[in-house]
Amino acid sequence: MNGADGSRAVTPDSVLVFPLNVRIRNYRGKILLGGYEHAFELSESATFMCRQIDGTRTVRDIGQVVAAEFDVDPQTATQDATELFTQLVVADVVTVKE
Amino acid sequence: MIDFSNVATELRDRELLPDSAESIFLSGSIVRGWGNKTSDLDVAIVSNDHWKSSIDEYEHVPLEPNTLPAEQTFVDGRRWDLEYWTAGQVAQILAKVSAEEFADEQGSWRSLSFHEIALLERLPYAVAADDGAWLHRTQTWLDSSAHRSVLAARSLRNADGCTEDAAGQLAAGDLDSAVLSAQLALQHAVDGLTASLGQVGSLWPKWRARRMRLVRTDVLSYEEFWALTTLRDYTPQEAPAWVERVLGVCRRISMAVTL
Repeated sequence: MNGADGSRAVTPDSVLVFPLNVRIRNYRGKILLGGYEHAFELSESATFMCRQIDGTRTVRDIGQVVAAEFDVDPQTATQDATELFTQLVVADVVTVKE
Repeated sequence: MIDFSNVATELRDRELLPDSAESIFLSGSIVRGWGNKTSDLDVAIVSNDHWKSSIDEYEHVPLEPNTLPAEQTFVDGRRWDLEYWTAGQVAQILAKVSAEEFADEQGSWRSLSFHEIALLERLPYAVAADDGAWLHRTQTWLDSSAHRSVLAARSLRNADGCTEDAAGQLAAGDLDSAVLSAQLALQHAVDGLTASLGQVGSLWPKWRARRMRLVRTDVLSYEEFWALTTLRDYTPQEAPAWVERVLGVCRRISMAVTL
């Protein structure tokens, strides 16, 4: 399923990967993601979510891990993860696995 | 075995020691215990006055003064490579790797030249051939600076460039070039990793395996590093997967290296 801008839409069942050419920096624990056009400085929780991207876990799986780590409701965590990853996919610093 | 206590005397006897010398220190593979019969000894002399090279050998440095004089001599059949820094030049280099400069998006650390980086990569392992006071002060200052972060960030930046090349070449179907670019990306990333863990030396790739053995990190085991470096699992049929795997290791390193 493709979004309006041509990017694949992120759903709880999506599996994510980083594009081959994404630039990553860790400044004292805070992650910066840089794509061809866009760059993001991630918050602590967003950094944690992005660290879970491994090409096999779904967004829902990541939501479960986030829920356990931050002691929040899994459904809310999955929704937050979906929103974050949607932004990152649109900016081409994360990709939905085919 | 070289007797380091005789270095000053050997230099003085050859009229290669400035009157205003503040420090004499040794570096390189011999000092690190990795040298062999044909290894040179790297000697740096820091003084208040700018040295005039007897062999008219000067390297350009983006400092004031803007040249780095050099000499060569042989002692007991071994070549000594001598560099003559002024104390002012060294102070200018150290200022470029301060925590404040590293935090600045336009910081001068971004444009360090070859010889500046070489000095920064030699100093942590240097051994004094004098009373050691200047070297001790300088090494202590480096420990509290952004020295490691600067060198690690520089290597990761080089890795990014090669990663971008590999990704582009892979997309274009130029697999052999992509493999070479991925290899280069990995080596730069490994230099960034080892630098962040205190083993700097990106200008000397021949000692990368030695540095990797010393750091012992979960981010990348020595065995995995060596398997990738020696293309152990590479097959031409699976070149794209191999390139993706190597670039994945580079990402893992970039994510783990704390600047």
